[in-house]
Amino acid sequence: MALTPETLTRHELNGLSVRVVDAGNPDLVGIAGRVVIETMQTLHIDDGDRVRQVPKRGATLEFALTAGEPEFTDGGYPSPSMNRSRTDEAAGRRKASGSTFKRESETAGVLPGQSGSTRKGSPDGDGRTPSRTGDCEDVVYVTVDGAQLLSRPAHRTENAGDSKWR
Amino acid sequence: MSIAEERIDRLHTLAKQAVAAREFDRSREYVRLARRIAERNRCGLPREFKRFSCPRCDVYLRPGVNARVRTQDGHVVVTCDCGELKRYPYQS
Ligand SMILES: [Zn+2]
Repeated sequence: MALTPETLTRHELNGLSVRVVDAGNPDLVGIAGRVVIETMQTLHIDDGDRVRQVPKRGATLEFALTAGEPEFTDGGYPSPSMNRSRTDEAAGRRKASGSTFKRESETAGVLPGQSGSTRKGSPDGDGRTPSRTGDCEDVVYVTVDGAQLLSRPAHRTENAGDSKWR
Repeated sequence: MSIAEERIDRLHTLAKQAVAAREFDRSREYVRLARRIAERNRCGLPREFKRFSCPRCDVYLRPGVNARVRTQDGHVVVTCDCGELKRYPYQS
C-alpha cells in the first residue's frame, strides 16, 4: 500500500509537495511548497518564505508524487516555472478525458449537507485525477478536491476515500 | 505494510528532519500524530521511534541536538532537554 494517486487521500500529506490550483480565497491560489502541518480543515504549506495556512474546503490541490521517497527530496515544489507548461498540458488532457470541473461542481453540490469526516465517493474515480506525464521522470501530479481531505489527520487512513456508507 | 505503518514511517523521518532543522514544535506535531495513528490502528510504534521520542514533551530526540545519551551500569540513560529521563537496559 504505497503512496499512489489512489491512496493519497488516506495517506500522510505532511512533507508532500503541493500547489494550490484553486481556492475560495483568491489570494491563496498559486501557493506552492511542502505541507508541513495538517489540521482537520486546513493545510499549512511552507512556500520557502513563510508558512501559509490554506483551508481544505473549497480548495483544489495538486500534489506532486515522486516515485522515490518524497521526504528526502528537499526544496519546494519541483521547479514551478519549468513545470508550468507541462501541468497546463496535463490539465488540458484531464479536461478532455475526465471533466474535472463537472465533478468538482458535483462534489460542491453535495458538500453543504455533509459532515466533516464522512465523504461520498462518486462511482467514477471520485475526483482524484492522476496525470502521469510521460517526459518527466517519475513525478506524478495528483489533483485532489480539498473537500475530500476534510477529516482529522489521524482518522483519514480509516475513513477517507472508499467508504461504502452513504 | 499497511498505510498506517507507512504513515508512521514517514512521520518518523519528518520528525527527525524537523529536529535537525531546530523546528522542535513541528517535530512534536509529527510525533503526536504518529502516536495517534498507532493507537487508532493498533499497530504500535517501531522501537526506534519509541526510544527517540520524549514521553513528557513529545519532541523527537536527536542526540547532540536535544538529547543526552549516557551509559551507566547495565542501562542507557537518555535525557531530554525538558529534563525527562528514560532508561533502557542493555546486555553488556
Ligand atoms: Zn522532553
